[in-house]
Amino acid sequence: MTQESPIKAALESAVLVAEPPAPDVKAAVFRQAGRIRFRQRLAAGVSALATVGVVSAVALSLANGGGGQGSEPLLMPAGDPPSATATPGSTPVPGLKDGAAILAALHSLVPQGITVTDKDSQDGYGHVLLTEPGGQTTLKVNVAANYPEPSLKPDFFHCDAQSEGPGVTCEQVTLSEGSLMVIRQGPTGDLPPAPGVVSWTVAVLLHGGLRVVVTEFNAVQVKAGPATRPEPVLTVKDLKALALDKVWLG
Amino acid sequence: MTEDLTHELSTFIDARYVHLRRTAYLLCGDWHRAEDLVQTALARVVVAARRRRVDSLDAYTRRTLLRVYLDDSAKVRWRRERSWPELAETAAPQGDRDVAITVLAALKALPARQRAVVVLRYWEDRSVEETAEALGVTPGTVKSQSAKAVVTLRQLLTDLPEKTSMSGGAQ
Repeated sequence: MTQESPIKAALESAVLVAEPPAPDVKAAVFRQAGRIRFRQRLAAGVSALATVGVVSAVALSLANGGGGQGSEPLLMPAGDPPSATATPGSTPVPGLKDGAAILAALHSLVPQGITVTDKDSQDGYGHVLLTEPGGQTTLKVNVAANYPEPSLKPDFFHCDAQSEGPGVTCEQVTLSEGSLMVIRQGPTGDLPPAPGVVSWTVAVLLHGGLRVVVTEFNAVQVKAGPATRPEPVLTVKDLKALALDKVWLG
Repeated sequence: MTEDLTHELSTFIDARYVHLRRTAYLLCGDWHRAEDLVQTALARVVVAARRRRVDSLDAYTRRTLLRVYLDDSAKVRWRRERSWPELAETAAPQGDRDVAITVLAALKALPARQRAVVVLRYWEDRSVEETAEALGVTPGTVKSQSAKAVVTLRQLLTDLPEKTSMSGGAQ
């Protein structure tokens, strides 16, 4: 007699007695795979950004005689001289301007399993609908260069409990080299949404003056509604990853 | 990802999901956690298949599921302890439920790696070499872990009906 058969019989008895119906998980599996790939790309992008920042800092340091004084820009292609309009000590990042390129970037960055449909993308501005079985989400991206230095802390990048709208949570994060990121969850004051419609925003202001604002809503018509799902499809973590992708550098 | 690969992966998931979930259930003792483990493992398989050729989806998925289970077990010990050996509501006779609870309790008594060895060897019918390859250990380790696990199971399952006894009965 072998031991295998009685053990297998015991295992089968444990499995088969209370087995619930199997769900259809294919869509969830492909969606999760898309998120994994998305974060892998982010990790690669952050690594590349860090490399660019280090190379730029070294290049600037050498160009300035190696004194290492002042703040070096995090995001500057090595060898590019500062422009006449740049704030002293920083070099502007050109940013991705072309509307078609922004739309293409969104297609590549949104996790697999979510369909991206263009609504009104144009130069400097992406406006798409994200569709998946749970409902539609509106996603907007604004890319703008030559913004004031993070050290000036424009209001948009400063969380202030007094001025935030009711029900809005705001988190401010200082990134490397003084770049800023702000995460807001809740209805924004200048765009009151319909009941049940929520908006999540992640805004990044890089040291080179590039501003990337990513906003999503759980609705197709933000003001008129209705809400298409309880929350937007991309998580705040997804939005952060999207806003920090190196593709926006241009 | 090509449509052919998507189709291949979809077909694979359809064909293997139930078995994978049963395997995961025997590893962790909780159907909900089993579903999470399998979904995570399959998602990783999809990513790997997109990036490079996976020679055997079946073997790669088995290895990935074990890795996900062992990693998860290290992180959420409290949840495992709480979930074992509860059974979902079922219409099964009370006697069968008692047997199932006893078997799950016996599996719970095994360390995670021994449980994995038991599930691979006796549920998946994998050879010592295949089990060793899946777990990333030597065949000798599989043999020793298996022997220890069987001793423990035999001690814990002596009161079971003959069909599930470790010491007698079936072939």
